[in-house]
Amino acid sequence: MTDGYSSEKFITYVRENHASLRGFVRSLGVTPMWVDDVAQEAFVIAYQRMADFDETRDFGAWVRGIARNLVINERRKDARRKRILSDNLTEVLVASSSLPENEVEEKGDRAQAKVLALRECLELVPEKSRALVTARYENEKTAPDIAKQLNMSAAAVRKSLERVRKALRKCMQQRIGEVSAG
Amino acid sequence: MKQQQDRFEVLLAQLLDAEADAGARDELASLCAGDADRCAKVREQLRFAQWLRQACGGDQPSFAQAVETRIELAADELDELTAELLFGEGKSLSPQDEQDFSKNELGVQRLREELQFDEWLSQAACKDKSEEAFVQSLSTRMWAEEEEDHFVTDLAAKIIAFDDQPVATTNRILSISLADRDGTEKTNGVKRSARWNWVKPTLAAAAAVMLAGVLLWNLLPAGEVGTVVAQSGEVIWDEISGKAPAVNGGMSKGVYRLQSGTVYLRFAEGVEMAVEGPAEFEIKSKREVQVGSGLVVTRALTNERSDFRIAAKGINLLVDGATMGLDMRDVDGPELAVLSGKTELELTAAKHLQSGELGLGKKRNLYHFEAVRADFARDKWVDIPFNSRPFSKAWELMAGVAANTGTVEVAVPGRMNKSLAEGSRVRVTMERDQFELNEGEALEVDTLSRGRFVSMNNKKAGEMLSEKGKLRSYLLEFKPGKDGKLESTLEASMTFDHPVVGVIFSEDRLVNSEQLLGGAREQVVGSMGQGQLLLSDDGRTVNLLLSSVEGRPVSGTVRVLVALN
Repeated sequence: MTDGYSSEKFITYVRENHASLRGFVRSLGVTPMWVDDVAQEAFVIAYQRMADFDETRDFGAWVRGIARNLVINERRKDARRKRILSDNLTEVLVASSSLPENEVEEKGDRAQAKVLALRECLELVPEKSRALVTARYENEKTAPDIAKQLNMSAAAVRKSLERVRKALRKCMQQRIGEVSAG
Repeated sequence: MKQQQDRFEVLLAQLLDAEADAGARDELASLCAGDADRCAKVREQLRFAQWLRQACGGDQPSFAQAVETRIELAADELDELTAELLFGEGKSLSPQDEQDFSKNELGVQRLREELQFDEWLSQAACKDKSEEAFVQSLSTRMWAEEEEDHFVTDLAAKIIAFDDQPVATTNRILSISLADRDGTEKTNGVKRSARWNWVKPTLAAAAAVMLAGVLLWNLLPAGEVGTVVAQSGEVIWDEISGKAPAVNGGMSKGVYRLQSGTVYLRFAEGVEMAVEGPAEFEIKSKREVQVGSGLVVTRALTNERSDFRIAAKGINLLVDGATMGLDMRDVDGPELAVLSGKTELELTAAKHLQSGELGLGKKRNLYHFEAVRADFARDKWVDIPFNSRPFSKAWELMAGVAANTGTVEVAVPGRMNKSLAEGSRVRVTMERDQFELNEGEALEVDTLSRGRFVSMNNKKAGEMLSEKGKLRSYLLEFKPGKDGKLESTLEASMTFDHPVVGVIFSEDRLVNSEQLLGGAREQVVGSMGQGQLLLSDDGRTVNLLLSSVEGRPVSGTVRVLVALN
């Protein structure tokens, strides 16, 4: 793939599909810290095989298929090199995922819109909830660490975060709905 | 065949009596695989057992209740699993859970949606997960993996464009460095290489800024937070920092530059560190040291998880019981090797290198004899072959044993090459750097009289080690090669920096202590037999006198226990 036009097109594909692909990869039980790595690997493979890609088809579905195979292959790796949480969990999750082409919900544009909506929603949550989200997602703290930091119990942290997530999900859906309706 | 059938019957009976565990069920399943008769029999028996249960109980409602409870339980388990997974806590499913979840299609679908949502939330909340960061990292990866291509230059131009969008707000240093300097020229590999060369000075400049900050910070007065325990080689401290601590001298907060030699430092809470020059480090507090360059070995003499941190460029290391070697000779590619134990380390995301912020990178557990190098370009730890050789000098100082004769060699952990294991020298290996005898735990040592040679040939009276508190064990090994020669005798002398409280050389006591102390070498060689051993009057020096028997050199092992408290 040395064609300038294809490179340009590929960049557009990456921008349109990275959010959905990363979400998809995570949903197959890949360890959070390795999600981007697996997604990038899928994009690299896709790039190397662009000549095989039928442009009339959905690129997102194609690259998800590649990622799915990468995740399946993780089960064969040596335990230390695995990028998944556990073999049998991934087995159950992969089995429950439909064929990539059918996963309409994971279409690129929608996922990117969801991330943008979530970013806006995060601006609206109370300060304490925001601190919780920052500690968990930005600083990658565990529940006991956050509990110590915020003077709460680990169980309370989990519960509070669950509530924040619920609120954020609702906010995200409303915003997506508003955009669609508008 | 009959055995298999008998086993099948046993397992089936266990299943019907609800006594078959997961292993038995799996075994039964494998015995049924491909055998239609056995399958039919299991089905028939289970059906009959179910009828029997219904006939005895006759309680349809309770059956319904049971089903409901089971469904609720499965839902609870799934919720629990979801909560754990959302906190990044790995979970391997039990065979029963796996079976239950496989049937609970909706539940698993929900779990997948939760995980997916979690990833999106992570992308929204975390700058490291932004579109810009992802594409930037992807471009670097493709640059590394693709040879001749326009992709990176095209993508780099796009990244510049991303920067103008409100969503992409973070770090411009690497973003800009990924683009051609004039922003227009599009060439391939050669140009990329030039561009990449430009990244390094940029990062080096960032590091220099950080270092300048460190030096300014050093002007602040501070109390003593550590001491110099020992040193070796020609120790020369750089005058620029005005700090040149001597052995037993205190160390205060601030920057230290060691031009040459090796120093062994001890901090509060039992954390120890050996530094081999040329090196530069800053003691930031009694719980944190920032290493700028050089070779460093650290360990914590505590059973508790210490809060002591070693920070280096892009690395955040918790000193929590493991003995680790940090090679910062190349500041752009620091390497870390775990000499013993297990540790957790963190690679600071490249974009935070300039600020030196910690706690933002990727964490990883590392076990003994594993080694990694920080790859800042990809924000990753890269596995590299374990090599403890660079840390030999620092380790020798920390090992707590000095060789008095050229016939003694202190082994650095993980270095098991033949020149050490098979030579005309006694190898000293630290087996367990700290341990305590638990209540009821006994360790029998050979009885010695200080200042007198004892023969290791005959079984000696033993005594139970009564020492309380922390102990350390060393293994002395002498294992000549196949063509090893020992003309007459070999003398080996070593002095320990803690008092020797027990020596084990009898074959049976060596074997008995193996479970508690062993593991530092491949196998027990056995008693040294014809050799003689002398413990000095002050109880710190051990001398070995090894002689050949009928022209053949002896070989064997001795354990030495010292009291740390």
